[in-house]
Amino acid sequence: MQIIQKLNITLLLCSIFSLANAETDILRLAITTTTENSGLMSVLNPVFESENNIKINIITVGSGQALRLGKQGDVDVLLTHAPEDEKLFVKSGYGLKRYPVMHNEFILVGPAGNPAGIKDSRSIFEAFNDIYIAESVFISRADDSGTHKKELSIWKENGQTPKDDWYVRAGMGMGSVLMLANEQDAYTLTDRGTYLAFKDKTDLEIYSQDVSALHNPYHVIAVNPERHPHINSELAEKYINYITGDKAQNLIQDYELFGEKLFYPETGLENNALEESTIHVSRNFFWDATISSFNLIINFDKSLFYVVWTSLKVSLIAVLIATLVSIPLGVFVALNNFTGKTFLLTCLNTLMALPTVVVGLLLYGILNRQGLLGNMSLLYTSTAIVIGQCVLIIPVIWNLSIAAVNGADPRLAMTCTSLGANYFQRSIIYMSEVRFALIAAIVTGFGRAIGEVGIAMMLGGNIHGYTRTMTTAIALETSKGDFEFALALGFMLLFVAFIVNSLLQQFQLKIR
Amino acid sequence: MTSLYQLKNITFNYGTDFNLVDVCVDIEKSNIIAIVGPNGSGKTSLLNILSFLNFPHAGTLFYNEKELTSNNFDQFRKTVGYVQQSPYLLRGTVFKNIELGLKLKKIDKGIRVKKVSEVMQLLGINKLSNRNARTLSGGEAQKVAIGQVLVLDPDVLILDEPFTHLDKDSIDELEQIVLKLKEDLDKTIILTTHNQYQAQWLADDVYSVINGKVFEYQMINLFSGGIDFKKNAFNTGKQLIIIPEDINHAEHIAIDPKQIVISRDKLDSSMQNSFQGKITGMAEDNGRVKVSIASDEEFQAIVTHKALEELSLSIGAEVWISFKSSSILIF
Repeated sequence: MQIIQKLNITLLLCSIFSLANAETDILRLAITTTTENSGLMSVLNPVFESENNIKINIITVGSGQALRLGKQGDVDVLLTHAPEDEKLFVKSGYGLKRYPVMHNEFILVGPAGNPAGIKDSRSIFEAFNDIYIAESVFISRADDSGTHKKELSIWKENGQTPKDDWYVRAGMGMGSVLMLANEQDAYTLTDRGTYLAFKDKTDLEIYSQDVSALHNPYHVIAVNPERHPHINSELAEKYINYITGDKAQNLIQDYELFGEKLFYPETGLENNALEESTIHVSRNFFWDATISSFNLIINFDKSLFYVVWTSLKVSLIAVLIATLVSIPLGVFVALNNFTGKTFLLTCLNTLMALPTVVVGLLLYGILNRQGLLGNMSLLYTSTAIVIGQCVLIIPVIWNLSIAAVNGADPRLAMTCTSLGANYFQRSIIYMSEVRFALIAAIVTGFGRAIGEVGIAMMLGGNIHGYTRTMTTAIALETSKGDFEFALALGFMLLFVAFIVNSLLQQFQLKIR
Repeated sequence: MTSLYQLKNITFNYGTDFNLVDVCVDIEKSNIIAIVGPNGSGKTSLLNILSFLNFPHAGTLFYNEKELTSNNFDQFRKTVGYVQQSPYLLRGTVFKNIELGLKLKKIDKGIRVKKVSEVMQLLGINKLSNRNARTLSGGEAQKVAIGQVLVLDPDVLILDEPFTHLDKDSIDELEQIVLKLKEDLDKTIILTTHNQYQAQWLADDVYSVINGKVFEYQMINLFSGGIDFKKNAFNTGKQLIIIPEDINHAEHIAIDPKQIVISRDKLDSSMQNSFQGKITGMAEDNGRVKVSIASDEEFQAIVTHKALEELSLSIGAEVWISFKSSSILIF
């Protein structure tokens, strides 16, 4: 009997593994946000998938991060638009060969009012100069993407360093940056594809389309299987043959959005394959990053501590407001009986689990230009984050303070009555008696506020030196591949949590 | 003496337990009143009515000869200091705890300090002034809780089970305090206790609460046991006492000492219970005489001086005691 059971389990496990094996033909493809936003991939990839009966997993990042993923062997094929870095990538032996796929061009877009007064038929360099002189708001991707690299090369060519008071470092994908530029009446550099894809969502206009200087070529590169043996090189090669072949090239040629062509196919194959010239010495990645991150902290890295300060400021204000609202409400609900109390408690319990991105989404709908409070221009400000975090933590502090007051000794009610306390005095006595639990409620709220990323990202916009918080910076720096900075922020976040809890501990000992 | 409380047919229902049914009681001013009775009998409900924490569901209540209405309910409550069972003290020092009530009334700091000091002096707890209230012993905490309400100068002080969980010395101290409050401050003190003997010697009047009914005497002839259905009697373990026929459950019985008749010879009467015994003690009791008779159980009867003289009773005398089964309280 036992043997049969064991046999059954073995058979079951075998069948699970064979199922899993059947699913292994997956191609991991890193593409840039500009390609993703254009919608082209949803036309190209399904054809390849159905022809070969495989599945393509797309990872959408900036070009810089795509190349980094390739270096680490986390993807099989890259489709990027950062020619200089791509060359280095192949030369260093991380990629096999580089093939041109298609091109379009970058364009300079800006608000309809044209605050920098850019005249028609200006070159991109002149247009950037106009912005520099007028000090008009300019949004930079600031995420190590192909677009970002292009933009930096133009400033470099002009010999100009933009000033922080009008130059906004967003750290977001192309689509989000266009939305941000639209909200802030700002200029930005974008690829034509994403601009067209977002045309009906923004009022931005084209100010410069310098075809030669703003040429934007896309290349496909297979990751070198000699460096990473687990790479699905067979499928990668198949994909490269497909995307550079006639069928895909025709699809690219015919792809249109709002009646406009987005990409131009390349004809003929360019053979850029180079032998491996340098061997990268592998290092203990995590350990080195940890050391570097400590150096950043010990040396009081200015940008690091500015981000920490922004986070603390925003979350402390949010906690202060939420506390002033929630604690009196909590005491009221706990000390009174009224119809609908059970319903209210159920609602509060539900709201305690409110996902931060849902809060972000709802407030985005209210605060953006077309929203209910659009004319207050609150979106992408720290005020917006404060509002979002308040919405997030008011139910938390409210609910926990109800629990705190309910947790008071039942004899306290009688004590208050026999001493002749009125409602207000009774509330004060209760708050004083359960103050430790109330402070714990506030600290829980603070922890939730400072640790959340969805609201700060969606409502703050992760703007460098303005609304970038610890969590959004960690998300951005990781996607940019700046692991050291992200790790340093992670440590700072832990440190803040540690300090807050130590203070609480001290307080607890003191009031005993 | 004038009546402080007059309760007429007071009824109070709270769920299924702790009810008061048709209570009629007069409580006199400047006395110590003890209320005794088993748990769940309605003692706390009675205290809540007397301290104006609960409004009676039926009946009329006169307090200082004024009828209780919903208008003067809050006003009446302010003249009563209620100390709950195992009282709850707030965080902070003893001084702060006692001061709190005055603070809530927005009394000036100077007056507060003076009043709190006086109260602590009276209760003998001046040394505890700066102690953290959470570190006090049970007896100390009870005194501080009394101080908390005493500082508000109430006319009546109501103490719910003040002696429970206290050691012998603390009980003695607290009894002295209760007597002092009556003598020196002219307060009326109403307290509940489990200790029959304590109630007897400490209080001027003792009330018993049984099954939501209040009796103006102490449960003296109180016996525990069970029903012997064959003999239609209550078996105390030592003695069989005949009870009415329709009773099917009893754990305790009590016999009103005024209903017990003492005679030299066995009476030929309709009284179902008749036992022979010996007189073991006699004591003056509010103008009458309380006689203790040892049969198989010990009984106490209250008789007039005249009856005592007529029977020429003395300690050690052989007597008969008789009482009706209908005069037995069964619960």
